[in-house]
Amino acid sequence: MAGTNINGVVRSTSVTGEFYDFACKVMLIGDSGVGKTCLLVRFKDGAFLSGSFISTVGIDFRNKIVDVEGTKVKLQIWDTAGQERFRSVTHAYYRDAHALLLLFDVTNRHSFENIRAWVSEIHEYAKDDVVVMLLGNKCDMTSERCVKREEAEKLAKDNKIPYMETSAKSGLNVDLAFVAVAKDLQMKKTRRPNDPKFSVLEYVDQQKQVPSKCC
Amino acid sequence: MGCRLELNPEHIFECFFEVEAPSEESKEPKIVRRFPEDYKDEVVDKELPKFCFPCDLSRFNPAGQFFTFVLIGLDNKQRFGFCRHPPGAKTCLCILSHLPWFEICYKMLNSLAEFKYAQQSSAGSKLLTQLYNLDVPLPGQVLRLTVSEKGSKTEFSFQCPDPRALPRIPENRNITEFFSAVDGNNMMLLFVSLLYERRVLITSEKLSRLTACVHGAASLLFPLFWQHIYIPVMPAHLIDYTCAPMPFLVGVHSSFMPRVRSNPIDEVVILNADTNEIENPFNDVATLPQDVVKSLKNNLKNTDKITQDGVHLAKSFLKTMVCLIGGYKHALKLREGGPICFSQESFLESRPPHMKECLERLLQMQHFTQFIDNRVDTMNAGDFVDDAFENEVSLSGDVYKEHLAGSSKLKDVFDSTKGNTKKGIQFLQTKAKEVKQHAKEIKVPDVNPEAMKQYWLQTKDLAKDGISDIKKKMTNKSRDTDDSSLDTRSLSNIHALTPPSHVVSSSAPASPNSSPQFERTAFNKIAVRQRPVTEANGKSKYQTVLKDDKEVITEELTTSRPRSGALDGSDAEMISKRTSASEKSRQYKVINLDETGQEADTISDDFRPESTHIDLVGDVTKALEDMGIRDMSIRGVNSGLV
Repeated sequence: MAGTNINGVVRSTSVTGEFYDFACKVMLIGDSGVGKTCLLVRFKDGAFLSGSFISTVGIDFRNKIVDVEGTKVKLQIWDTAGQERFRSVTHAYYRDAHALLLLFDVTNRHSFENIRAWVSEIHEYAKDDVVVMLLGNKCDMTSERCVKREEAEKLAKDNKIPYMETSAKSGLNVDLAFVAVAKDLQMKKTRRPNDPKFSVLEYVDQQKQVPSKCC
Repeated sequence: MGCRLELNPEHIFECFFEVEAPSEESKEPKIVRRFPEDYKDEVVDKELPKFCFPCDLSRFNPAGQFFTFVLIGLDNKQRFGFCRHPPGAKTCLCILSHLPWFEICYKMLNSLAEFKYAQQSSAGSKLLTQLYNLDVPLPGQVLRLTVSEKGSKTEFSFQCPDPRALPRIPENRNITEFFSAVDGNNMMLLFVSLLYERRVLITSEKLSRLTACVHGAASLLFPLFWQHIYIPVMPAHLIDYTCAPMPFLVGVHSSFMPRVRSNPIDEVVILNADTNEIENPFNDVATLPQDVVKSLKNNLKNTDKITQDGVHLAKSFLKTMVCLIGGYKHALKLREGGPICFSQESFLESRPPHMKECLERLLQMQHFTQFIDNRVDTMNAGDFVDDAFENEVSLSGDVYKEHLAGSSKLKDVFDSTKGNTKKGIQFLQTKAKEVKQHAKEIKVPDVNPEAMKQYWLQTKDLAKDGISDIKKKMTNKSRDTDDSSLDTRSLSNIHALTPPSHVVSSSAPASPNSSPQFERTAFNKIAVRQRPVTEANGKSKYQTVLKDDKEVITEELTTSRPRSGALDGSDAEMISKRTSASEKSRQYKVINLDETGQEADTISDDFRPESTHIDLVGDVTKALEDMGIRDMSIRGVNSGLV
């Protein structure tokens, strides 16, 4: 890793030769079948992955560099299969993640109901300063929806985490979810004491698109 | 049991492949032959060749190589890819199987390679067909297959491995290779890193040594199973996975190490299996109970014994696991009318204080959580686990006691609580008097020595239970526990005083409703002997093993839902207990009268013997003598405080 000092931050080169200022590890978590892998593929490749994708080693990851006001944040996004086999997921799992994207499927009530358990586990086990975001995926499937947006918003508000609805299929809010994470991480890392405080909650509220009711 | 093996695979192997090395025309390795020919799996087709050639085998293959990669399915089950690639060979032979049959598959690969080089490919197909069509044999079963080709007969035989057996040197290739590459101290460091779910990377220039060390190291965790990322050999395209923020156990060919080190890897324990050097950013061994470390070190130092007694190595680690987690049963609880569950608090309280730090961390680990979940599920499903670990737990007796005996520090703790213990004894003596009174009430017809022996053994149980109960109550009292739903009795306390049928009059009431005198007694649990076990009555729930000096008693507890009308709707548990050593079975009805608060009040608040385990047999003997029960010579009775 070549390190050069530019504007006070060490700029590194990844294996593929891209420059970045700092790297962050983001983990996708949530029940099986909520669309974690699809979301990852949509973000990285801008494509929708249809059919099932099976990782041969039970884990997958993608790198993507996001530009946050001139700072290049390398997001290393990890997606592991099979968390659902654990009755509870212990802290070793999240130990070193900087951000957690917590997904549920708006057409699967059960996946939403499990969010509370996920949130309490995160509170118990993750790093104190971990960035958490709640994503209601598959919001394009309007007719099959069984989790109301208001419910999810309330749950998110109660837990003081931002919420947005995403569609790995249409791409709605997918980039925003990752950019918001990058922005929050970058602010945490580089903000000077006198700088205005960045609220990822406000940022997400301003930027997110609400899925249209008819599609 | 938390392992990630497919328990009932349909075939001995899923598919056999011959994979051709990358050449100048095609940069990628490709499958050139497969059996069964109609085997289709898109992902395997795409990924398997890369695992068969995880590095440039034309450059890095100093000797004939057997190595084994692992693929994880969507169901999180492991499939093993057993590979054979001799130096200079253009193809790699690979058997993909759900079964961890390393030695047998390597042997199969050798036979298949012989057929291939003798240009008897049809013989190879015949062998594969026979093996594929066999039902998976039972453990220990010996199979003999004969392949005739052009007048010559070739026999292929193997014995199906026993999954319950500990890995043995030199028969088990993985552990043997691991032992020859890594010294005792580094083995221990690696073991502790895995125990604490660190990121662990093993590297070697030999693929056979590499994957053997990964599989061997993971096997030492038994009865725990590594739950996280497990890639015994990482092909080039997966090398960046070493940046993973979660725990992993991976093998990396030494040619990729510069690339690994250039990545932003988090703290990783790295073992070089070629030089037996370990890079360990942690000091995890320091948090382990030092007596456990010392005894493991001593066991591992004895290399002669390791090579002579094949299971000594595996057993040394198993003993360590028994010391650390063998006491999990002390923390199993029965919820009021609900299933068995595990109490973390009781687990920590029931172990010696010097183990607390380590156990607190273990409770945070996925493999331990998974272990407990599986044990509890098994018990709640009416089954029990019978494996090398449980055997070792029963053989080692009360691990806790061993710790007490072995640690001088603990002896101090013990001495300081002796005074309190006396109070407990007094309490027990009072109880014993009540037992006497109670025995009068239920009219002892004629006393025979065998009955008295039974009576004695059960009273001894009571004594232990009594202490446990007092301990519990005092702890709960001081803690002001709000966990009211949790029955604070440890499951092991359920078998309380049980006069055998010889003692209890034959008209002993079957239903507690008709025995008011039982309800009046101060015992919060009364067990009424029922008939010898009836299999139909409830499912077996729990197996515990008591060591009684030389006599090992295996118990099987049975619980079922309370009978209707039992104790005005309060819980009544049917507990059956089977003494397998004597093949005798007994069944008890335990009635919970729940007078915990009242009893707790009778003992002063400073009585808190939770940091010691005390055998009160001697004192109970005295109490019994006070009751007029004397001159009993019973095998296995300890006297005095241990």
